[in-house]
Amino acid sequence: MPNPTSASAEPILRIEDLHKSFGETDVLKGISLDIEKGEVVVVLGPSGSGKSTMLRCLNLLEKPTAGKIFFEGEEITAPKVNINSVRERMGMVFQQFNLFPHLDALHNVMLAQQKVLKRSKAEAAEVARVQLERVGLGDRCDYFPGELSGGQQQRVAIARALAMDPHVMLFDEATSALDPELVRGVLDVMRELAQQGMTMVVVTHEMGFARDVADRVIFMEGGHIVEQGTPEQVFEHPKSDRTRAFIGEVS
Amino acid sequence: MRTAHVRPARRATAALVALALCLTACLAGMVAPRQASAMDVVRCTGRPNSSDDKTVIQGATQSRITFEATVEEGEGVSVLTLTIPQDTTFETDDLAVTLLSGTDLMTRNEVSYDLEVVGQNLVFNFDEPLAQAGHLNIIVYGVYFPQAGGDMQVEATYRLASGDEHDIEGIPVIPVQGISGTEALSQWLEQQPWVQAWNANRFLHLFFDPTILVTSFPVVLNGFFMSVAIVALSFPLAIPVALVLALMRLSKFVVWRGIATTYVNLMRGTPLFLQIYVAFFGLPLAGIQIPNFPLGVIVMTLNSGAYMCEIFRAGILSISKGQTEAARSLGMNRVQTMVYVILPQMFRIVIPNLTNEFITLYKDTSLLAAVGVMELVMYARTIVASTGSITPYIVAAAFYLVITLPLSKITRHLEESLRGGKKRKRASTAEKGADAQKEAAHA
Repeated sequence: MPNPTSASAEPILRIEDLHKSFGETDVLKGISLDIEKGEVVVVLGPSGSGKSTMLRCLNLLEKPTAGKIFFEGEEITAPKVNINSVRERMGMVFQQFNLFPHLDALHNVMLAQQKVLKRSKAEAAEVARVQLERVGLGDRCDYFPGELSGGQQQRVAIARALAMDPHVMLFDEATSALDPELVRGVLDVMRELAQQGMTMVVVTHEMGFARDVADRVIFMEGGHIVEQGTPEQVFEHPKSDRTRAFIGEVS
Repeated sequence: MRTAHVRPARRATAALVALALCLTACLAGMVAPRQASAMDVVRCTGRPNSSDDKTVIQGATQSRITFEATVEEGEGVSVLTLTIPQDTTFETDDLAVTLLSGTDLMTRNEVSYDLEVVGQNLVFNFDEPLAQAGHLNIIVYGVYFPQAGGDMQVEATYRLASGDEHDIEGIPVIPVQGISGTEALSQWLEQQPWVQAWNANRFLHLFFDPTILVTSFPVVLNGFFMSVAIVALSFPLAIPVALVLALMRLSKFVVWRGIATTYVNLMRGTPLFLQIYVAFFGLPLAGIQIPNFPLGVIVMTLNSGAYMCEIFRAGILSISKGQTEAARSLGMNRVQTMVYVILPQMFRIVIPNLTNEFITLYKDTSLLAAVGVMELVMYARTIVASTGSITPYIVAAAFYLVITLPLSKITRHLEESLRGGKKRKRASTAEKGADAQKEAAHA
């Protein structure tokens, strides 16, 4: 388990005093965070605490109001940065899956490979099959999103992100829109991914997952990071009352 | 006995008369060859029967043949054979055979005869050889010349009492104009009792005259092809125009947005009829000469583009933002996202609206009639003008419905399937259910 305090290699993601406001509303009020390569960071917090906004700032789906974000040493918040090349290396999984409904599972996974990475059709299809196999959907290649269950759709979405060979995976409440019985399959895939050493930033309400898989748990509220530490520290010995209340409430 | 006494004297008189007759006949026989020809044709005509042109004789339409030839004094024509042209039908119940005599040929003399019909030959055996000078006039009724038309040659020969046969030379041909199958059908229909009964009703006659129905069909069909050609060109051309406009309207740049919005508002805010007038009368005045057909296509394209633009814009806006975010998060740029993710979904959504737009556009081609583009309504109008019947408009209506009714049905079907979110049928649907259960059990 990487120790955030140890002076290891440069962090893969560094967030410096990140602010984001929508009009008059300040959602992020100065977030600073380093994420090491291979680390699994789980972000917890009540609704409206800014967890998702922070995640969306990481791949610039939201443009930060102030602050800097460095990804693999490059400041991606700087002007004239090629956002697309940043996003290629950062996979994202959405709460609502957002699969392309006009394409079957295989072509959902193939599309960006062909258009962004310029892989040949055959290569893209090969990679897509491997990734669909990896999320347990090797036999669903020719299914359209509408024909798949929510859990299957989300696993296809994960495969779609993985096919781009990302260096970091962002999960934005990936299981929140799923029926309870379908959550497990998705969490299993995420757990496996964590074990294989993928750097992951996971916004979730799944306490069990956070406890089992996270290297570090971050508790956010009101646009601030209130508390962070190993799952053990945050869950067993929370320092702030707010964290304690939240954990008690949820679990 | 008295009678017996008288008899020989009468016999003698009869013999004398016979002798005299024989002499004159011989004399005539000797004289005849010296004449240029004994019977000369005066005329041989058909009766004009075209409703459009009063001088034209059409095939497959009822007509009659009038044949007239001179007869010399004391010539004694005993048999006349009239040969009607091949493939021409005629009636023989009601022939008029008259010998016009007198100085002004105003005296009508009935001629009695026996008629023998052999194929196309009408053989008139005159009871008395025609001895009086004049014009022999024969009218054959119920004549139908061949549908294809052509120059019809009537032939005639005659036999004198002496037994000499002669041809009548120099008979003029009857020029017959060919008519189409539908015209022939129309002519035929006109004769049918049920059609006559039908047309006796004023309303039916005006709007659904079967004879005009069949004749206007092929003519209006030309207009149908024209209308379809216009819409078949302008509809696909309008799609890229509309796409560009829609993207401009959704653009972040105020200039693009302004141009597109102005254009769309202008085109949608003014009648197409007015736009057609401006294009067809304005451009030539400005020195720009564009033939009717391409100009019609251009106007329809530009107009339809504006309406389609709004359809596309609404379609794009109806696609969830998550689609764009997902595509962008994978590193796709704006254009790639639009082309590979948004537009394919948009087209699926707008198909019912596009079909409606197609129907509207097809119907609106009729407005081009006002500027002389030969489309459906224009063709119908020309026949209406010449016949005074509304029926061609009804035929035109049918040509519109042939396209619009099936399309509306398809549109309704598409709308239903879109609303119902129909999924592709698949053999392994049951398997999917089983899989979901497995997943559930797993959790």
